[in-house]
Amino acid sequence: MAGPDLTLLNWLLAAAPIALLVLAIMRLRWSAPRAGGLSWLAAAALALWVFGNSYHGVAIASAKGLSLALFVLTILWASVYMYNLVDRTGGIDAIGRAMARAASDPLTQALLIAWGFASFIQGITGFGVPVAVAAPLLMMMGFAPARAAAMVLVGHGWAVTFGSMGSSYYTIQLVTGIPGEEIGPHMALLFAPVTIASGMLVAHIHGGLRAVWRSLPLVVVVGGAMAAAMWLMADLGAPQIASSVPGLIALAAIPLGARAGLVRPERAAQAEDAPAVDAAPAAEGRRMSFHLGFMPYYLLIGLSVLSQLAPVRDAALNLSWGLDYPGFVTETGHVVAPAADYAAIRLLNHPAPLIIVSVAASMAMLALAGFWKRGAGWEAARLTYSQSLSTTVGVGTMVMMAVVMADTGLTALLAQGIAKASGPLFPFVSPFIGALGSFMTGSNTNSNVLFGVLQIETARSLGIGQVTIASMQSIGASVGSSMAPAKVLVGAALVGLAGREHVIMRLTVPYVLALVAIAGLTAIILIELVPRWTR
Amino acid sequence: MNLGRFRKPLRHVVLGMLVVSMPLLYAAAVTLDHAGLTMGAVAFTAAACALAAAVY
Repeated sequence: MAGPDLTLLNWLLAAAPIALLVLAIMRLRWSAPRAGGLSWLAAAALALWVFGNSYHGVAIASAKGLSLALFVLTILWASVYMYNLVDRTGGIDAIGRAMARAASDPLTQALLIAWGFASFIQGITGFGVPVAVAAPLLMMMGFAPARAAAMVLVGHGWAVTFGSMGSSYYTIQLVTGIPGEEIGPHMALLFAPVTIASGMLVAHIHGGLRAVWRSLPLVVVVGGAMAAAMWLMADLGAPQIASSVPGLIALAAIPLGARAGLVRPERAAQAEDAPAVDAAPAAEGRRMSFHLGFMPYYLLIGLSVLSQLAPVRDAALNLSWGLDYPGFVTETGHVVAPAADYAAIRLLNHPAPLIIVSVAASMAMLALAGFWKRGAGWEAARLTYSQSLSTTVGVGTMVMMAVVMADTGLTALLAQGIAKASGPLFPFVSPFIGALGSFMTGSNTNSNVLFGVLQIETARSLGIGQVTIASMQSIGASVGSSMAPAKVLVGAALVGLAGREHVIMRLTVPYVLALVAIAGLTAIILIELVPRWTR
Repeated sequence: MNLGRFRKPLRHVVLGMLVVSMPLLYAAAVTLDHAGLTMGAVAFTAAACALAAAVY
């Protein structure tokens, strides 16, 4: 893969748009559209006038970025609308009260929703839906908005690779050519420390070290069971459910474990942020039941499972909308392959149509049950537009920037530089490259496409196990997708922090980097201490 | 740049410009494959991004 020459100056220039984006959001506290707009300008200017790319290449890459953004944004708009409509009709209130009753301790609630429920949803659907569904639920239960979003982002990152019915997992298998029976169980085992650590970090976001200590027995027992289930599913040749099955186990085991005393009691003097949900039954008026309130989500889960069945998937191939983009070669020799049906929105597979169908059917049921409020649909639509405006522009500009960088060879140059400089530390650095890819593109799958081959080629040249490094690529990308601006912006819009994304970013990024470092340490320890186990 | 009371309405304009950018870029660079139009479409997208940076 040719591209710009790997020199220190070129590498620093290629890093400039990302550095600008991170600095603007994390340090200068700029809004996402402002930071994203300037980052695209920087990336396009560098591509055109420093690295000698043509307007043609930049135009195609920008259009591809907007196609990809549309794919993500349709999910965001549909999710925000669903949440607003369910909220307007009293459903969110019903769900919040029921969840508060299922697990009375706030720490257990945080683990149940952010680590268990969000991961289960990631297992069956993905594409930002876990954040869109679970973060508002936590907020409804009384958690602070930024913490609610950060807990969900950190809590479900481990489930992304085998999530969405294994789409990212199949991609790393395809691009590296490593057989599934070899990489699947190996990667699932390497995920174990990350899975358990995710639970600990959710507890830490909620209540610091004290909360980690209190929930340690529960997190170790449930996390161990989740990791074992993930390995078993991958080993049995069912990687497409290697996230949803552990997620289901967590949903059942977390409340049971808490009742069995696996969460140490809280000292009254050191109480954590206690959610303020009123779990008591209504004293007056007619309140909606949990199941009716949760109906759109039940339907969404059911439709998501249905949409993954082979006959439905096959039927969906023809019912889609996506643009065909030609391939091109940049002036520095970087080859961009043609993309047919790019970021296609499939009518029976994409979450947005599924959400719309779920909402329509649920609202019909609500009307029959007498809970429909006149004008709720229009009111929810107006609210959705105002809540999503800033996020829409932010996602559009940032995804455009990411694709311009990828298609002009700047992202590959960055990864090559990191791989070359790391030398013997490459196994530690490898998941960070995966995380860089998903940070840039908002997708584990895209990161695997971008860097899968680069990772195993570097591993081969250094004489390191290629299966282990390919696994690290996907693990880093899985966890790293949680700090992708596209995903953070979805969370921010849904918890009412649109325009103040930096609050969630600053809270989330250190935890995500810690998880990526845990993955890297696992790899380097195994390669150094148990080289025969690595492949 | 002090955009004062125009800041809020201009945010909707930015969204509109980005919505137009996608078909514009695609038509210029892929469908018509025209160098001048492609340069114009990139300039239009750059204006949308610059306006986003100014009004958000």
